[in-house]
Amino acid sequence: MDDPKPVMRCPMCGKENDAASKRCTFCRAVLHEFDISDDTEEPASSDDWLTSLRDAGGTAPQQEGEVPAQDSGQFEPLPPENNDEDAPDWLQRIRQRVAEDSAQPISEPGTKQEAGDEGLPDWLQGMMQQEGAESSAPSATWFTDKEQDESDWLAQLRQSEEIVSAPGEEILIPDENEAVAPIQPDELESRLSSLNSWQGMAEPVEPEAEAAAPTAPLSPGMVVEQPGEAEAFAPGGEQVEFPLPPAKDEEEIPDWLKKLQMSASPVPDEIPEEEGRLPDWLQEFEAVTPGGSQDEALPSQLEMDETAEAVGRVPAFYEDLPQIEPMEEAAAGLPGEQPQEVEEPALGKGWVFEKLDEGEPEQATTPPAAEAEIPGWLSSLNMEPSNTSANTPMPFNEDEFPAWLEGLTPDDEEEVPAFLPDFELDKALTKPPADEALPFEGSEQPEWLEELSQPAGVTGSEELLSTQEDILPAELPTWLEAMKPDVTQKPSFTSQNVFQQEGPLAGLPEILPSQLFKNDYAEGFSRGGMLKVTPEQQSSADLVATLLGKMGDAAAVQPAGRKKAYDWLRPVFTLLLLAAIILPMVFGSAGLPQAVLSPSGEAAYALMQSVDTTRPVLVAFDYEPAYSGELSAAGQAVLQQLIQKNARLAFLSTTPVGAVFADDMLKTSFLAVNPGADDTTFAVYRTALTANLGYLPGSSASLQEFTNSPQQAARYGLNAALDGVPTWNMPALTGVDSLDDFGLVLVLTDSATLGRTWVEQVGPALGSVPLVMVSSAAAAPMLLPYYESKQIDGLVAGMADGLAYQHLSPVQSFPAVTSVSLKAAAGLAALALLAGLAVYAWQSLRANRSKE
Amino acid sequence: MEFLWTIAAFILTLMVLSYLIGDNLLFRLAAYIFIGVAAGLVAVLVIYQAILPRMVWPLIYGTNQERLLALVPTVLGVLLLFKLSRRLGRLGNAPMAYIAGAGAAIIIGGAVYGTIIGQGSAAVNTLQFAPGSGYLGRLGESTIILLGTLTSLAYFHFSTRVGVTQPGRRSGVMQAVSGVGQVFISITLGAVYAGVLLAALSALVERILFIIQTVGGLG
Repeated sequence: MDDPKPVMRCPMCGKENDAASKRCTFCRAVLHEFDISDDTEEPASSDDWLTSLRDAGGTAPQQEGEVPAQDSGQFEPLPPENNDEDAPDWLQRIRQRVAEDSAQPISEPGTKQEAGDEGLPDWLQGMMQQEGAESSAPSATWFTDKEQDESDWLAQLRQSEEIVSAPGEEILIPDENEAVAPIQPDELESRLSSLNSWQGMAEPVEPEAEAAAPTAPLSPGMVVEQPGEAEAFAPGGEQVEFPLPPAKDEEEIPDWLKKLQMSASPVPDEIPEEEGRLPDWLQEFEAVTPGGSQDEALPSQLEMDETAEAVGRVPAFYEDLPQIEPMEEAAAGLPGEQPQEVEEPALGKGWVFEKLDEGEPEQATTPPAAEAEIPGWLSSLNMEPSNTSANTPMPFNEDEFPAWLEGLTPDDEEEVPAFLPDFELDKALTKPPADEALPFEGSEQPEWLEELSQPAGVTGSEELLSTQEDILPAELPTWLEAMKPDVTQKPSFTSQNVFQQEGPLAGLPEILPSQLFKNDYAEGFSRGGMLKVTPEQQSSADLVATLLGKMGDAAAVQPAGRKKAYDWLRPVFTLLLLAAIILPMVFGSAGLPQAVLSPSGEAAYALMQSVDTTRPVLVAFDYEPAYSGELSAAGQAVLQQLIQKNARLAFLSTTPVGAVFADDMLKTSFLAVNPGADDTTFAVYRTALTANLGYLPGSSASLQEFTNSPQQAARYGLNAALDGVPTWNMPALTGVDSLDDFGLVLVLTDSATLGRTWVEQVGPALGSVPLVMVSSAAAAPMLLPYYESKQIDGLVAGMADGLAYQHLSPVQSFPAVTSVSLKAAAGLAALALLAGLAVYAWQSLRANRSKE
Repeated sequence: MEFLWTIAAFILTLMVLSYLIGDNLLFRLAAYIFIGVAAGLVAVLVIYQAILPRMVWPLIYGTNQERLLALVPTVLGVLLLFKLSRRLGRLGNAPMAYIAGAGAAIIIGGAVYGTIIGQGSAAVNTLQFAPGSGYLGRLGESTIILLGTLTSLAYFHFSTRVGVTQPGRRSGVMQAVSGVGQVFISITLGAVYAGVLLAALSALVERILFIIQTVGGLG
C-alpha cells in the first residue's frame, strides 16, 4: 500500500491508468502496445519493424538489428531473376528496405548498432554485437545477406542443411566478453513460457514441461547439445546452448535459414528455440489462423508471460480457444480435443501452392519457353514434385501440415472452399489442352499464356465456340428478369410489304410506321405526383384541346405544277415596261410635256445660284452603289452648277464607297461642263479647287465630331495615304476651321436615315449655312417634312427632280427624253398596280358572293 | 481604258437584266461579281481610310499624346475582336457597351433637338399664317397636317381601361381617331413605296439609256 501503484499513461487520451490494465479505462485504448514506460526490452519491438514493413514502408527507418532470425525464415527467399513486379507488395517493400540498407555504409557497426539496438531485445542485441565483432559485415540482417548473396541462396540453403544435419555438433554462442547482452533468467523464462504456450496450442500440455521450463538453468553461454533445440526445451532441465553458427561459412547464413535447417532436421516434433521469439503479430496470426476469431483482442507477449505459470504455460488467449477452434475440430465436432500433432506454421505463400501442386503433379507441364516468363513465385507452382523436393528446401514435411493448412490442400476435397474447385489454379497456370477453350483470346491474354496457346494451333474463339454448348444458361434474378425485353415475341410485321400511307414519305416501301412498335414494348414508367394546374391553365388546356379536336385531317397537297397560273404576266409586263422606256428614247419626246421641278428643287436651285464661291462647298456622298444611277442623274445637275461657278468643293462621305463616287461624279460632271478638257486639266482642277476628305467612319458619332471639329474628324483625306499631302492644306480648304466656314452643305443620300442624321447632327451647327439635299425618290417622302420645317433649305428628290433641275442648267448630261421614259415607266407601273388591285378586289368580291 | 470599262459595264448590265427572263447563271454570276468587288473595295477603303490613318500611324509616327489617344481605340478594337470567340466573347462587352452607349446618346440628342423639337415646332408654325390670298387653302393644308399628326400619334396610343369581365378595349373616340391616323400612315407608307418603286425605275431607265448610248456609240 505504501508503494505507489504503477501507472501507465494512455497514449491516446493521456490519462493515467493502472499498469496492469490492458486497456485504458477512459478511452478503451490498448495500453501495452504503446507502453513506452515498460522497462522490459523485449516488447520494444519485435513487431515494430514488421509493422513498419506492412505499412507504407520506407518511411520508418530500418535498423539492422531489428530483424529477428526466426521471423526471416517465414519469408520465402526468391531467386534473383524474379521480377519485382511479380512479387507481392510486402516483398517489394522488403526489397526496397534492403536496398536502402545496403546502400548505407556498413562499416560502422558500432554506431549503427547502437542506434539500432535501442529497440531490440537484449538477446538479439547480444547476437548482433557478437556477430558485429566477428565480422565486419553485419550478418544479422538476412536482408543484407540476401542482397549480397541472393544469387546463391539455394546453395546456402543446401549448405546449411548439410551443416545442421550433422548430429551432435555443438554450436557455441558468444560469451559475455564478446559484447553479448546477457539474457536474464526471468526474461528467458517468460519467453520460453510463451513459446511453450504456443506449442501447447498444437499438442497437449504435459505436466513435466510445466515444471521443467521455469526451472531450466538457463544462462548466457549455456551449451546445447545438438540436436539440441528439442532437448533444450525438453523436460528435465538439460543444458541448453543457443544455436549459433559453428563455422565461418555459416556466419553468412541468416537466421531464418537456420530455422529452415532445424525444420529439416530429423526431429520435427520439437519446436526450435527461435520460435519462442516469434513476434506478437505472428503469434496472433498463428493463434487465429487455425479457425479462431480475430475479433478477440489477443494478449501481448507480456500478458502471456504473466499468465504462463498460472495456466501451465498456456497463454491467456489460449483460454479462449473454444471460440477459436482449429478447423479440424470444428469440422469433427470435437471442441474439447487438442490436435495430436504439432504442425510447424509455415506462412510461405509459395509453399502453400507447392502443396497444392503436389496434389496434382501431372498437370505441371509448363513448357520451358513459357516458364522463363512466369514469375518466380508462379514458376514454383508448375514445378514437378520431384524437382520441388530436390531444389526447394521444404520447411517441413508433407505430413507436417498444420491443421488449418490442410484445409487448403486439394487432396481434401471436402475442406476445399467452394471457390477453389471453380478456380482450378493448377489448370489456369498450366498449358491448357488443345481442345479446351481459353478464358480469353488474342491480345487480352498475357504473353506467356499466348505462347502457351500458340502451339495448339486452335484460336481462342474456336475453342470458345466449341465449348459454348457446355455453358449452362445463368439464372437471372427476378428483378433482372422483369427488366429483360421479351425477345420471344417477334414483331408482327415485315418491313418489305409495308408502305407508308401518308406524310412526306407516302408511297415509299420498307417504312416502319411507329404504331407497329407500340404493342411490342411495354410502356415506360409513369411519373408519380400530381401536376398542379390552375383553373386558368386548365381552361387554356381545354381550349387547345378543343382547337385540336376541331382540326381535321390534313388535306391532300396537290403537287406543284411546272407552271403557275400567272407566269405569263411577268414577261408581258417586262415587255411593256421596256417598251415604255425605250420607245420615247427611240422616237423622241417631241410634243410631250417636260419635267417640272418641285418647289424644294427650286429652292435648291436658287441656293446654288447664290452660293458664295469664296467659301468652299461641302458635298457629302452618302449613298450606296445601287442608287448611283438615280443619284448620279440628280446630283450631276447640281454638281455641274457648282463647277460652272468655280466653287471650291470638299467631298466627304460617311459610307466607305461614297468618296469613290465623289471622284467619279466629279470627273463626269467636269467633263460634261468642259467637253474639251482632258485628264490633265481635270487633275489640275481637282487639285486646285477640290478636296476629298474621304471616308468618315462612325456615322452619327463621326458627324457629331465633324460638326465640332472638322479638321480633327476628317484629318486624313482620301488620297493622303497615297500622295502624303495633308488634306487640310489643300487650296480648296483654305480658311476652313469650322463648319461655319463652308458656304453651303450639299448632301447626296439614298437613305432617309442618313439624311435625318445630317439634319439632326449637323443642321443645328450650321447656323446660316444652307443645307441642301439631293435624295433618292425612296427617301424623299421622309425628308420632305424637314424641308417643310425649314431644317433643309432645298431638296432635289430623285431622278425626276434631277432631270428637271438639269433643264434649268445649260449643261445637259441626260437627254430630256429620259424624264419621259421615266414617267412612262412609272405610269405603267402605276397602271399595273391598279390592275392588280382591281383583280384582287374582284376576286375578293367574288369570293364573298360565293360564300353568301 | 475607258472603252474597256464601258464594255464591262455593258456586259454586266445585260447580265443583270437577264433576270427578266428568270433566275439564270448570268444573273448569279453578275451578283457574285458585284458582291465580291464591293466587299473588296470596302475592305481596302476601310484599311486605308480608317485603320491605318486613325490607329496605326498615330501609334508609329504620332506624338506621345497622339499615341496615347490612338491607344484607346486600339485596345477597344482588339477587345472587340474577342467577340468572335465564344469563350472570350465577354471581353468584347466593354467596347460594345461603349459603342452602344455613345451611339445612343448621340442619336437621342440629335433626335430630340433635330426631329422632335424641330418637327413639333414646324407643325405648330403651320397654323401661323396671316389672312390673305390663299387663306382657305393654307388653312385646309394646315388642318390636314394637324389632323394627320394628331391621328397618327393617336394610332400608336395603346393604353386602355381593363374591364372586369371584358378584355381591355380602346374607347370609341380613340378607335375613330386611330382609324383616321391609320389612313394617314397608310398614305405615308404608300408614298414611301412609290418612292422606292420610282427609284428602281430610275435605275432601270438609267441603265437602259446607258445601253442605248453604248450601242449607239458602238454603231
